[in-house]
Amino acid sequence: MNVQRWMTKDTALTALLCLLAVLILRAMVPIGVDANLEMRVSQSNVPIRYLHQRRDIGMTKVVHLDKLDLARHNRFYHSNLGDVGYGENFFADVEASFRITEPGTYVFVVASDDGFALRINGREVCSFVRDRALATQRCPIRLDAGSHDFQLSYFQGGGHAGLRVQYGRAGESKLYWFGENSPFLKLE
Amino acid sequence: MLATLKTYHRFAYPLLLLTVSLLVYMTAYTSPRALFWDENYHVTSAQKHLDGVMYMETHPPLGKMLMAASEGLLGVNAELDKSALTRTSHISGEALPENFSFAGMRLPSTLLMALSVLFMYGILYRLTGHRLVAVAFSCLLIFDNALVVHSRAAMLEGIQLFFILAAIYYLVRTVTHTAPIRLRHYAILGALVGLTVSVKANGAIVLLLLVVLFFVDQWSNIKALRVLPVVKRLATSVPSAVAPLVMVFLSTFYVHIATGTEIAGNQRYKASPEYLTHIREGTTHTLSGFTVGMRDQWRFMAEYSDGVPRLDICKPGENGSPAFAWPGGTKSISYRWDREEVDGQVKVAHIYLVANPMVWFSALLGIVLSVGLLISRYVYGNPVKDVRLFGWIAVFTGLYLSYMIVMLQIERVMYLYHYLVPLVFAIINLALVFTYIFRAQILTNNRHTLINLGIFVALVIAVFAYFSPLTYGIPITPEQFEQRQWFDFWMMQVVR
Repeated sequence: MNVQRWMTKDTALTALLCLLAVLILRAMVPIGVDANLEMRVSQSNVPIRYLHQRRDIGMTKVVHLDKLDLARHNRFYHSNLGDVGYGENFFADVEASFRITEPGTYVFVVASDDGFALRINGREVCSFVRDRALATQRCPIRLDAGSHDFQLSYFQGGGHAGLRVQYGRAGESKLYWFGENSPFLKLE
Repeated sequence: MLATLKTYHRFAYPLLLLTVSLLVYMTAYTSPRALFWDENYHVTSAQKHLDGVMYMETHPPLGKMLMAASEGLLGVNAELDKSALTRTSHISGEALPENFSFAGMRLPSTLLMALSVLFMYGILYRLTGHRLVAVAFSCLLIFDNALVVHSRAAMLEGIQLFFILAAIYYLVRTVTHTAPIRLRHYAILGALVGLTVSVKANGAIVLLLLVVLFFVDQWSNIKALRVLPVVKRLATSVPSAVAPLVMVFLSTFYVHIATGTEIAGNQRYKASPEYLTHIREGTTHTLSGFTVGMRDQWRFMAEYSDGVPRLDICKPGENGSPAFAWPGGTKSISYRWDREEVDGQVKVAHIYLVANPMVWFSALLGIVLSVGLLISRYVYGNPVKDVRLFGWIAVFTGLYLSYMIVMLQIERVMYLYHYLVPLVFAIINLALVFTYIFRAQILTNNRHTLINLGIFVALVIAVFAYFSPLTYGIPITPEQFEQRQWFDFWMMQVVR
């Protein structure tokens, strides 16, 4: 086959148009991830240096997520949804309820760049309220069987970004993404 | 029969384009049945023309006069008490008479913009010499969400773009015609430029068309450095063009001033005592009345422009945007939204100024390519394969860049729709660049090239359809709105 015969301007344009068509279709068709969690992302009108600073919000958007796995390519990035933040200077808040079937000590493993605060049933379990590079914290808490409230606040100032939240039972190595059910924790 | 078909088939393409254009632009153009953006100003001004009330405004009066003529001819609001419109310069939606119809006020901009596609087709056909290429790129004028949403309103841009495209068409027709360029061509083009400027001052960019006409007219003399014939021609062509231009401009102001014989709602617009005296005595139609009125109108326009605030992107809710960001579609503007909740589901009908990215980015790519072409010719001395087409690419790239350079100098707040004028230049340029690159294929009607063109138009229409809820105010959920936020730099604002 004479490859050179096919390497024409028209072929190049066809390839470009096909690529555009794929990109357009991808942008038009909603990408399906399970809407297990609702995250409110709020762009700040002023630089954020501290999680609890007074919020001056410009734009906000709600993103539905399957799990809190948002730390890729040093960005606030979901593997299917792409960038879900605003570039820089934004807050992200997630509120959810979950049910524990087996009482015991659980551990929430939170990795954030920049800061975060995790509250369970209104009590702060752990936090890092200033900016930093991606770092992981293990946050243990004893939970009874029954329903519990989960509240996570996160902020991105400038530079790299990312957020990951996993959970598991204390003393066990297996971790689950927050947003995904497990034998002992189910989202309500 | 066959002979008849052959005679008329050349009208088939423009007729088809016109039909589609009328459908896209005119469908339910009276919706929303509420004011948005600058309609609050223009509707009051147009009503003042009908009621013979004096007013002053930042833009020349022709656009509002056409709105008034349309409103008067259709008489759709004849039964309503519209005195509230004449007592103010800016009317709120609540103050508008109940059941006010927008059919008359919105008609000039909507209809003229829909008709503009004929000029676009004429321009592209004359420059590319290929009907299908002309049809394909004319579609970009029909299926751009920003052009459609902004023209379907009692605003000035649709009217202005009609005159701009008419002027370009006339220039192209004159230059591509075999007959020599005569002074009457300068005069007619001057009159068309005058009509453009009489709608909105930024239309002054088309003054450059007169320069193009002169260069084409005198190219052989300029190339041979024959100064005397050039100067001689300059001495006759400049007055031939400028006189009708000025006459058209002053005539619109004369009609505006002469018919404004009343003051309503104590709206004096800082008119001088002399002008007020002429209004009181009903002598605004006299030479002295017109002179005084013109002076006051002119001063008002200058003072108003000076008083417009600067762009402040830190200001919450700022709708303005810097000119350098316009080619990417920054910043989109929410003209109006109406929220409704049905069975717990929020739906919002938006009228949103947002670009069709296929049109805007392709047009921008065309500009980038043509600038590259110009650099390759004038910096690196590369040969030109089609001198005529190259010349027209230089003209439209020049018009685009000139407009943008001027806009970049302006400090007052400007908006995304100020980009619609250079967008039209860029669309024409894109068609020319395409023809330049695929010249041989187009000349031989290469099927692959034409299929590519078809795919391109299909993508343009598909993207237009996708964004059309924001153009026609079709209610969508906040999630559907967010799905249309393709780029953060568009800065679209969801309503929940």
